[in-house]
Amino acid sequence: MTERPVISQDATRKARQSRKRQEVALLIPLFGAIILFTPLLGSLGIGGDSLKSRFVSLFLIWLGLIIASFIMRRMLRPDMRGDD
Amino acid sequence: MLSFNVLITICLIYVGILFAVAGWADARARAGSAKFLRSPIVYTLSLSVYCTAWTFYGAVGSAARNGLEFATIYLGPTLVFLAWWWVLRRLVRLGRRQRITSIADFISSRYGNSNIIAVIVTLLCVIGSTPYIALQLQSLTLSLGVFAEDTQTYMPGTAAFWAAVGLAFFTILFGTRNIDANERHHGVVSAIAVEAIVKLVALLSVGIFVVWGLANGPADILSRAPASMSTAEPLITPRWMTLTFLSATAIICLPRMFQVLVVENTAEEHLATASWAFPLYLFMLSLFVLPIAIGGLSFLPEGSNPDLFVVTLPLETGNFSLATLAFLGGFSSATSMVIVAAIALSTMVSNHIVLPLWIRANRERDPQSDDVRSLLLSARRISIVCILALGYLYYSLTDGTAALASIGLIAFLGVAQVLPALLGGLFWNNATRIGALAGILTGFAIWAYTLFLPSFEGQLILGQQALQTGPWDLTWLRPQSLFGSQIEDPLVHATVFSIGGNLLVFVVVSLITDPTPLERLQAVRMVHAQDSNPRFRSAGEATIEDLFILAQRILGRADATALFERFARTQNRQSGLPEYTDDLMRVLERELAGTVGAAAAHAMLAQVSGSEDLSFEDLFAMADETAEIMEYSQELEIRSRELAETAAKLREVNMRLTDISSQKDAFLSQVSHELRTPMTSIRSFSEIMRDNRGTPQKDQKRFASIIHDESVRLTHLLDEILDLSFLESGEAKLNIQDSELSEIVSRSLNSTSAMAEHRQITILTDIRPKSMRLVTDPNRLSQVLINLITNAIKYGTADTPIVKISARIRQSEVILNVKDNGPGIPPDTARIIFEKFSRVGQSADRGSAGLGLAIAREIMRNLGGSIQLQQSNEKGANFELRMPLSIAGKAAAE
Repeated sequence: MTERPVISQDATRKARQSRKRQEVALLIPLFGAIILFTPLLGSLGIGGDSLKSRFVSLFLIWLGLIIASFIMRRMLRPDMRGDD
Repeated sequence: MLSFNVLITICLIYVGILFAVAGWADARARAGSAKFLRSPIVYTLSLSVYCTAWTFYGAVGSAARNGLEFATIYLGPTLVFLAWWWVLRRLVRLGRRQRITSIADFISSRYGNSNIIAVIVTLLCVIGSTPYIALQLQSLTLSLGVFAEDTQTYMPGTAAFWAAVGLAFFTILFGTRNIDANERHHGVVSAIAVEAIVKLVALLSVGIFVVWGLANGPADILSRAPASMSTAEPLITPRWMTLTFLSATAIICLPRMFQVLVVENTAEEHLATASWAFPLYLFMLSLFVLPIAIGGLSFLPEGSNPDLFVVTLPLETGNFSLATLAFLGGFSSATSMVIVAAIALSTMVSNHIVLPLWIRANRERDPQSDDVRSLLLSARRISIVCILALGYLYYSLTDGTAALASIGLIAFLGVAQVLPALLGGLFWNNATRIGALAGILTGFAIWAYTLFLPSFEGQLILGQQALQTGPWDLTWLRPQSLFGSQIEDPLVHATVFSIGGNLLVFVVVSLITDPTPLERLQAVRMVHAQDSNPRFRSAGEATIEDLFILAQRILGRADATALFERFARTQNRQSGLPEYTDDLMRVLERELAGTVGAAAAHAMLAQVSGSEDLSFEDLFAMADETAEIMEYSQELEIRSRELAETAAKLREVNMRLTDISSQKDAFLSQVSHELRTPMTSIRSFSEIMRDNRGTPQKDQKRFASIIHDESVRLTHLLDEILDLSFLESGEAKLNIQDSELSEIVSRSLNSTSAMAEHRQITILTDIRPKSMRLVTDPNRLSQVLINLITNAIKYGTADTPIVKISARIRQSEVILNVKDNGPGIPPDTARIIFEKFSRVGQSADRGSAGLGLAIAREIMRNLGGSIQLQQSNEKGANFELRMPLSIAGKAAAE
């Protein structure tokens, strides 16, 4: 087997994985926007009517998004090389 | 009770620490050892300039009044940071690459460096920020007033004034120290990072104190919430969405946010950390807001100002040090906002308003003699003073508290008008300058009409009457119910109409206008900034895959692969791509330069590697180079075509010249040879006759007749030469007439009959049909025939020599053959018999100069016919004449 296909396969595989990671990176804010920006949450009955449960659910979702973002940032590390 | 003077002293010490931090950071940055300053943590903390006194104090107030609604102010930015990869990264990268100094600068450079857009955005930002600065001064004085022992002697105006003076001093000192190429302010950013920590610690401390000090844990404090906070209304209402949208917009569009987010960013990597760290900061900051609000409502006497719960809760419960910390938190929030806003606004004002005006005013003067740098510095300092003065003035004029409280969101919406132009510029290729301008102005006008002016409650321009029933009683124009819409909340109403109108006008105008070339260029650079370059990279280094893809596009797949494989092998790698080396870059640049030109290759690699920005010089060099190459190659093509044509012509002419020259040489040598022989005899015999007087009469007579004969021959030869030259040049006179072929043939036979009889040669004629009419010169045609017959007789060496003359008609041509049964003409001689002075065989008689056939050919050419030697297997020579029939002849033939 020659080296030629190795190069292009390697490059395309890396590019594809990178694209996938970036698409996932788009999913998190999209999910966050749907939950926190549209009335979906209330219509699903999540959080209920009491201030306490709303407070807890809102902050839990918030924290969940932050953790997701933290994980995402680690996943995207291969796509971001070098530091100033 | 804490002494007011002690608080002031603590405050001054705190300010002193901030000065020291800023000074130290500036010194470190100048010394080039600012590694700590360039950490993602400092960057994240500096973003906290978003949380002003309005949010520090106001969030608790908002929570006390509207429950969880306060969270929207933090959720908007959280969502934007979650989408950092798709929006903020692009913004930060472009800001760094294009050395953007402010949001006005960014929008103006996207739309072809339009200064009018920069001026409008600057004005919009100043209008939006002034009340905001006033709000900070108010928060400062209000919170300070809480500590005053004697509220009668406390002068809030004086406190606000000195606060403004102090802030102006700090901002000028650390914000305008130099005109940095990147407009980065390490000192200010460090001080703000410290303030961010103080803010967070203060709010967390008060929160913990309330939850675990005053109440018995989270469950207890939440259960103390008044019933009014629990409603059946869904959490996410149009107002919730509007507030989230506005806060999300603010994190990008507010001048101070753009300053810390984009301008002060030293590495894109920092943004990656901030993507989760800043939302976490906001999360922690808002975690105790609701508990503090509930605590204030439960533990403080009724009627306490909820906006001051953060300070009053610890103060009223005797926790003075915590109250001081809370005050410092609020102080930090207010000061950091004012400082950064003043820096951002002063940069915009000096760059987009003062500098263009100054340049216009000093157009006549020699620009070399003036220092633009010092002008910018002083313009910036004066701007800072003016902006703070404006804020103070606004604070003094409004003097109230109620009008100021709502101004934060009004300002948010005002600045949000920049958003469509900003995002459109980032993601939409066809967004144009005029579209952006029209959109911003439309949105701004609707904002002013539906929210800003009505906020003065009929005191400014729009009167009460106009607010209630619309101007001139046009109800559909009611400022807070445009087109009869039923949106109750004025903020939601104004947001829907101003942003909607802005977006609509921006899109429609962009679609119907054409961008200028510079706009198009900037659009390509900004919209496609990431497409070719999907990797996140802050250092000047392209991934090897990028280089490989680039090389493939330009060199072609096979060549690029071969090149990279060669490098991989030299690096002893069995498979995959080679390591990135300078050598590889150099070779690659050279290879690319061979295809696209040196400037273009350099620019492409620079672009892919992100190591340097593509400057206009690069572009111009690229364009020049390409144009030059194209021009040059076109010229070359034309030249080479011309050259080829000329060369072909020259070759042809040269060939003809060589031909003519050799013909002339041959002709001259023949002529001289032909002349020489008779001239020699004439000379010899005339000499004999002159020198020998005793020559007998008989000899004398013989000699004289030889001289005579030779002279005749000479004359004949010269006549022939003359005749030939006339015929060749086409100047021979022809006596063309309608003639009968048989007559011409018989005339020729008569002329040669004596010679034929002498040689005993039989001449047969076979002319069918008998009558053939020709339009020709009969004498000349007869001359040709005589020549041919004479030749046939001369070479008639057969036992019974016969010459046969036959004529036929074939396709309106007369074909006449003169054929003998002599030895014929060998093929190698056949080629040259029509040339001048050519004779067949050595036995030729001396009477001929060898011009007969040449003359015959020329005559036939002049008569519109031809003469050829027919080659056949039969013995003897066969000459064929072809000539056209006359019209009458043709008719007869048919």
